[in-house]
Amino acid sequence: MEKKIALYCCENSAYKAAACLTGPELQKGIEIIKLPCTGKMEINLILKTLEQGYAGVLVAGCPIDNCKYIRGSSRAEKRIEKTRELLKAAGIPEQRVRMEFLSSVDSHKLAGAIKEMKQELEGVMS
Amino acid sequence: MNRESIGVIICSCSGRNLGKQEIDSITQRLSFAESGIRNMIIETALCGEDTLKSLRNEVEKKGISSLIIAGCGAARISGVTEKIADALSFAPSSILGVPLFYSEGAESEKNKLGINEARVDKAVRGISRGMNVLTSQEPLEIEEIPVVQRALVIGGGAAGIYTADALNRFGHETVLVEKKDSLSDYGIDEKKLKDLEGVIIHTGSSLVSLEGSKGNFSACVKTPGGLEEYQAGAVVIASGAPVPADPKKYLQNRFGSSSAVPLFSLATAYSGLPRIPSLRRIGILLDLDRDEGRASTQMALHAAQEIQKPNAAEVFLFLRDARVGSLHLEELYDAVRDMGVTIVKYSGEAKISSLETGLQVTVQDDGLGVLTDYTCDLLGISPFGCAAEEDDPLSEITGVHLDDYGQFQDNNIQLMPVETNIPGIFTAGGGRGEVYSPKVKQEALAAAGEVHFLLKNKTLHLERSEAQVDPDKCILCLTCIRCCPHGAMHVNREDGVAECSTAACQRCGICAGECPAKAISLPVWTDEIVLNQL
Amino acid sequence: MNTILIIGSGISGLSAADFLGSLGNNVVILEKEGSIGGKILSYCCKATDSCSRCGVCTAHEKLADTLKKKNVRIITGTDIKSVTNTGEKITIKAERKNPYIDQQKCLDCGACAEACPENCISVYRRGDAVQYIVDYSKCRLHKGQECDVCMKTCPADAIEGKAAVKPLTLTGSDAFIATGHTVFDAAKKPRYGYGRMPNVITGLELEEMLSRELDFPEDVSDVAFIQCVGSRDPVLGRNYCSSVCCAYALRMARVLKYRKPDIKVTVYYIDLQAFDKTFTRFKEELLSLGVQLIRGVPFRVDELESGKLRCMVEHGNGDETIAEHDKVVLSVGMGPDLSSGEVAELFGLKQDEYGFLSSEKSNVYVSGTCENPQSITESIASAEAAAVKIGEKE
Repeated sequence: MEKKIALYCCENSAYKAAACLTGPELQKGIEIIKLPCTGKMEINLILKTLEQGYAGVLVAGCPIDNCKYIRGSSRAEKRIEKTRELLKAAGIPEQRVRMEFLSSVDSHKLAGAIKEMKQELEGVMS
Repeated sequence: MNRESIGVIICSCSGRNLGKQEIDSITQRLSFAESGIRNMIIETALCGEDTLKSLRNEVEKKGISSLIIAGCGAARISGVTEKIADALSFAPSSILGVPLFYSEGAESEKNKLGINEARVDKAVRGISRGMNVLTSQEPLEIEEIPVVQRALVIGGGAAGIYTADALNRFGHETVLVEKKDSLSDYGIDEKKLKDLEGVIIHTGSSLVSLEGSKGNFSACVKTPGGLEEYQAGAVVIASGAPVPADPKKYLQNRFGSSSAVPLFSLATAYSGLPRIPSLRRIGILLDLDRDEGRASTQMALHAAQEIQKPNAAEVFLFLRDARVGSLHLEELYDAVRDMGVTIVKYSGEAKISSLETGLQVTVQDDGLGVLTDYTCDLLGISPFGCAAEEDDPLSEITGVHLDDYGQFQDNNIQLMPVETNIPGIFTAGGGRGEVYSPKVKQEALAAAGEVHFLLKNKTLHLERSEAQVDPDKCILCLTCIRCCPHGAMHVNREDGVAECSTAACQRCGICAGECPAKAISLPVWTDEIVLNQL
Repeated sequence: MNTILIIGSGISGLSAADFLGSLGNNVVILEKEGSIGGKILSYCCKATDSCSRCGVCTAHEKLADTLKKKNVRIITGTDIKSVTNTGEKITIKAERKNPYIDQQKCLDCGACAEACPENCISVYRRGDAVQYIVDYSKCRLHKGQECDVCMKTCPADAIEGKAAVKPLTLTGSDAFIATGHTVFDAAKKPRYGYGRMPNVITGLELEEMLSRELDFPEDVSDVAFIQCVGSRDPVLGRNYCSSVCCAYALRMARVLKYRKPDIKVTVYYIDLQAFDKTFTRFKEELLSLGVQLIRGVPFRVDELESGKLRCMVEHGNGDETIAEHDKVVLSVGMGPDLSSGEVAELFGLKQDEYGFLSSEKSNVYVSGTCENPQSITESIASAEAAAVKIGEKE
């Protein structure tokens, strides 16, 4: 399948920001997956996603101290960091997994992160 | 759930999101698939009022109890799901969405037949997988939890009094608990509030334990007459700013001098000084351990006005910044300056050392640009600027988080103004960090409003979609209990498993994410449901 | 249940509507602009990787939530012509501009915006809030010509209107005034060069810029904020602190540093208002990022031949700070909305010496920035506090 980025969004912030993204270069090659909170994000979900052939996993959640469930995005930050370390140790480019923090009204921050990740992936996947 | 009760809706958004050919292609592929869809409904404007009415009829006719909706994933669908759930009297979790974002179907992607293959593919996959998920799921029950018709307010200061008064007027039974022997009168502008007729008031009392969750808390209050137990539907923490319990003693101990007094008693202390022929220098210090706010500036300016007297006392007001962010504080500030009070704005920290008589204040004086020493006969220090001596035990008792300065409520905008991490517990006033009287009053009323919302529904109808712990996998490591921000997890020692309270659970999934044994799952956010979106 | 008439759809009006609607009242919000939400539509999110608690995201959520409420009706493009208040009943006669798009019926299909021959319908889409806004200055129908293209294309029948305006009469038991504020016109302080010097902008303009993602061009490497513009100023008749300008300036200073770590940011202030309940931490973070906080506000801004803007501050001890910046942001303060005088007259409200509103009438309530300068969170609390008083009556 074509290489896409799986965009895991918490439904309170990033999902709403993602829904406002316009422009084909942002929507092309992105699959949006809703989560109740990035605190639910687990390593096995990331690995299953990569297993299914996705080029990268971008986890987008509320800024630290902005999480609707208080601690969710900071827990996710730690888990994503851990996942990156594990990937690196396994010889998989860590740039394939990344976390971004943004509020529901900050679509352009998400757009910037997607652009950046696409560029980075082109560099490591080729 | 059985296939007959599952309905599949494909909405084209007036043909703008999905073209006719695309819908035909989707329905064709689904009818050949093993998905066994019995009820397929095609809509053009699912969120329209009329559509919902006709949909309701159809749903009732066909005995549909859950839905898969493939349609625009735009922000509005989150409101649409609720709208549909509401209109059909469904629980929101009986509706599974397959979002097809508008821009995924860009015109240029369509082939000669006017079909965006990838999109049709996604819709078909999503709907088929959705069928698999729903058929393997049991429908969730609705639990009815009666809401105890009583509110518990902790703290008899301005915030607590205004909250209790408002709740009383709403007609709710209210219990007010205050640890001192009487209610405070600082910051109250209506004397009659002091009566609080009908409110059960316990002074000299404190909360010693709080169990249960939103709608049904069990509180134990220690009163001079013994322990009182109360059930309450909601709790408001209005315990006041985390200042030293005995400011006078604290300051004397800290600075080794009885010339360091709390600001609110400075005027009294000054009047107690013997008259001397020369000018007394009386200091007022704000921002000692942390930056203070408008209430402190106002208190300081009023104290300065009271004390500054030509030929008797000159007042030196030391502060990092004058917090005058309220309509008439600037005028007060100007008036105090015009009186001849010296206002010393400093950077960094103020050092205070005791002298044989009086105190020395050393500050980086921004006006002079150098470190300067000032001697004062008396120094009034604002208690609000002093760091809290210890964490308020109420935090441990209730589970409400403290911020970096020992104030209730995480410094999180999602909770503001009056919510806390524990559903059903609210906070207002100095306890959460706002001491300025007009704002305290507003917060107290807002908290009363939130409690009113909670109590006016006599019953909570909660879907049993809270976190489920698999007893075979749970190792009682207590991780979930520690990481749940809402205090929803507790230990069932008898069965040796962690359990989740359906009223307190916010269905966020943090516990499921943290559990090292992967023993926890959320019924409406299983791995299948999440990955189904790919 | 009562009908409550709310004037203004900013965060204060929306919060009151949310609260009162949830209690079961019928609520009608009358909004003079073509858009719903007031100033929050112009504000940017001020988070870096961590939140700064500005409230813009929660305000948009409140906007989206209120739009979904069944018993809240929001009527945009409405000018109030007359008000009669018997103490028990309020009757408002108003004029609503046409064409009128009912945001609560709108399906967000985009058909009207695409079809409009004058291209006068724009979409505002942020967070959960979506609205289609008509630019009445371009619209043929509103200018008196015949046109019904948008109405015909709308699949939800959400657009209507025959003549340029439609007269409305609304009745309710209580009125809730939440007409908001207008920021200080920085041109009234000519020594700062606003309006003459293109690189001098206001705080509100910076908010709009950052909310639309536009960053400063690459060659902007030095930005300065000047606080208290139009505030704490007896000469201008605005001798009060607007309380929110330190908040927005310092938060945006942090955002600028985060987007471009090499950028030099200076904040010239008189007193820093403690806008956060852990303000000391926030200040420490700013200082550790290298933001310069300078006590002392420049008397004037000079544009040099190089295009740079020079600011000079004289300190109490005779020292001077002279710096050259690429951009100067004037932190303008809040003042009562320009319509406040009219609103006061219509509803029989009192105005203080600055023009801020207050009510002595038993069924008219005032909240939000039309009452005094306040932040988003404070506006929510003040609206709920006033709404509670209405709720108690029932």
